[in-house]
Amino acid sequence: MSGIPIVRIEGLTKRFGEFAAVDAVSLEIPRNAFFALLGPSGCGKTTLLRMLAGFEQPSEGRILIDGEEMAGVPPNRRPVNMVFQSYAVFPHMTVAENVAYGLKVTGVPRPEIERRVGEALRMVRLSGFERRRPDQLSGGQKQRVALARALVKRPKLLLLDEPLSALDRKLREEMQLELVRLQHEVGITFVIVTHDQGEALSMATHVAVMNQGRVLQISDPRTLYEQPRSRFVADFIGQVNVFEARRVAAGDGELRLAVDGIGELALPDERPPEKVVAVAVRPEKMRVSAVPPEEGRVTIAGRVGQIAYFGDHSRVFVEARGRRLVCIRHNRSRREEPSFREGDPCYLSFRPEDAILLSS
Amino acid sequence: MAERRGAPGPLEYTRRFWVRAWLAATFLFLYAPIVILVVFSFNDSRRNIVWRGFTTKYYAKAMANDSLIEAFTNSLVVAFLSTLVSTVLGTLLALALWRFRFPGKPVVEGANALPIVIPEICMGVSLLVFFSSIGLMSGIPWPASLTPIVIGHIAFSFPFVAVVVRARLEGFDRSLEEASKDLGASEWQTLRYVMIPFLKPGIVAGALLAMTLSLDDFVITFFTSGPETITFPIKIYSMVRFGATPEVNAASTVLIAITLLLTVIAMRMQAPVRGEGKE
Repeated sequence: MSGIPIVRIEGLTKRFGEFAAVDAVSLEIPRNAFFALLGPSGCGKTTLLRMLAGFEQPSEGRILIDGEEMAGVPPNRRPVNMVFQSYAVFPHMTVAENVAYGLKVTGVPRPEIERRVGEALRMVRLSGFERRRPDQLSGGQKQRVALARALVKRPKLLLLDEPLSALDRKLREEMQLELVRLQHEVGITFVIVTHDQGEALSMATHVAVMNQGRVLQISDPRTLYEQPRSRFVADFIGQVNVFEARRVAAGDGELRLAVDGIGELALPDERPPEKVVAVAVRPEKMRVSAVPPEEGRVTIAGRVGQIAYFGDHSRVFVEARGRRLVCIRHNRSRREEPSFREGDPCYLSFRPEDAILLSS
Repeated sequence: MAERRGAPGPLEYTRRFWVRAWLAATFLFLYAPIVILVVFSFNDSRRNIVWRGFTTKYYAKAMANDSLIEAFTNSLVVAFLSTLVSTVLGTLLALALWRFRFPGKPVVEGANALPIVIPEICMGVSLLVFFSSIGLMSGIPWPASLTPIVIGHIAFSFPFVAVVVRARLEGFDRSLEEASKDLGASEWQTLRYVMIPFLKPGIVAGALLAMTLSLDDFVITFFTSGPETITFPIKIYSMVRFGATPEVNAASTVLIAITLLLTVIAMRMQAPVRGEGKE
């Protein structure tokens, strides 16, 4: 495998009139990655994907796929295939005809088409469905047809536009695992667009978080969750308690911060960003207790505001110093120990090293 | 059913007596003349007034009438040619209006609807003036002599095709087109393998509509036909001038049957086809 990334995007901008849907995005997608573009609706992720596919022309910047400049290359000549949000399975063709379509129009000989179609259908576990029509398929099966139809072309890049959004929750979780398995099996780079953070974290090897046309952070899922750099990323990926903060002193392997609602906080100075504007703590890193916790934990006293029960876990909302903080309790036992009621005094605490430093 | 004796529900229109009576009167008004025409085509009488018994001899007589058959042939040729051209033109127009944004698009859309609303008599006269001024009205051998009629029929029927095809295009999922290109198909292949199959019911319905319009058109044909190029409706009109014999009835019945058949096929084609339901 050559060292160049499969996709290289440089200063890519797409304007619709005055509005920049994609704003000066530069990024690289490594070979064999499962790359997720994550962001709220309207953040430009789909526009970016459509520029990769060739359906939209960039206003500025360029796209290189496997080192080749893509400007002026129409969608049908790009080494890229797409799975559409609506699946876009051709309704007048059978499953096999749908999968064969991309090979037929590019003049692949018939015996090879038959062999590759069979292979692709086996891969997405649709063998035996060759002669079915799309209206005889469930949503999940249509999804598989769309996948097989794209994979049979052996693209360098498979683009997936919100592929799971139309499926119900059980099926969606099943397809997530299935997509990861497929990606390992075929060794093609996948680029998936999603607004579902759980989906991105569980499937992708790389996640790019987008907002208002810009890429805010590209990391592996764990780093993204445990070390988000900005307030937006921290808040968009999972829940978070944010405290405004200001640097007081640094040195001797320690960083001292003045934190709103907590007071002065000394943190192990591992990799301090040049600027600290806030500190964030994930709710599952918080602990709620009826008695003051042991030494070494940062403690905030408050009152239980509300408890939301989710079965496997509960979210405890604590009112402390005029703020509402959230903490997750995993319900490890069938009995709640200790049991809290709304209005009970309590202590929220976290370990200093679990605090996330946000630089914007 | 006998239990349902209450006042008619808001949507049970046909349970109200006056509504039923109105409906019956309307049907009677619309279809009684046609039924009488068909019935009397089997009347064993030279005149069309009293029923004298069943016969099919006027059908045989109509079949033996050479000039009637000639007119019928003309009508079929004209209908075939004008349908072919107006289907292609109408489909292309619909695709262009659906697909592209271009300056003056509203004007084109309006102009497209004009032949539908312009009084036929005006169109007939204008075509007559046009064709005679360019010398296309006489001295040409058959079947080229049908050209003015064919052109006239294309002019008023392709907008109908465009309307029908356009309606079908509204339901087209654009990502199908994109998917086709994404999979490596050219514009032409996308049109051939994805668009046309989807549009087929609309195109067929439009074509049948064009054919029906052409087959029974009188006004425009009257102005654009010469002595050599009489079509079926015009022939019937000239026969009636010498008295409405059962032969005219028989010929008209055949025309009704053909039109009816085409209409039924058109409606069948427009009904949603199995296998294309969009979720």
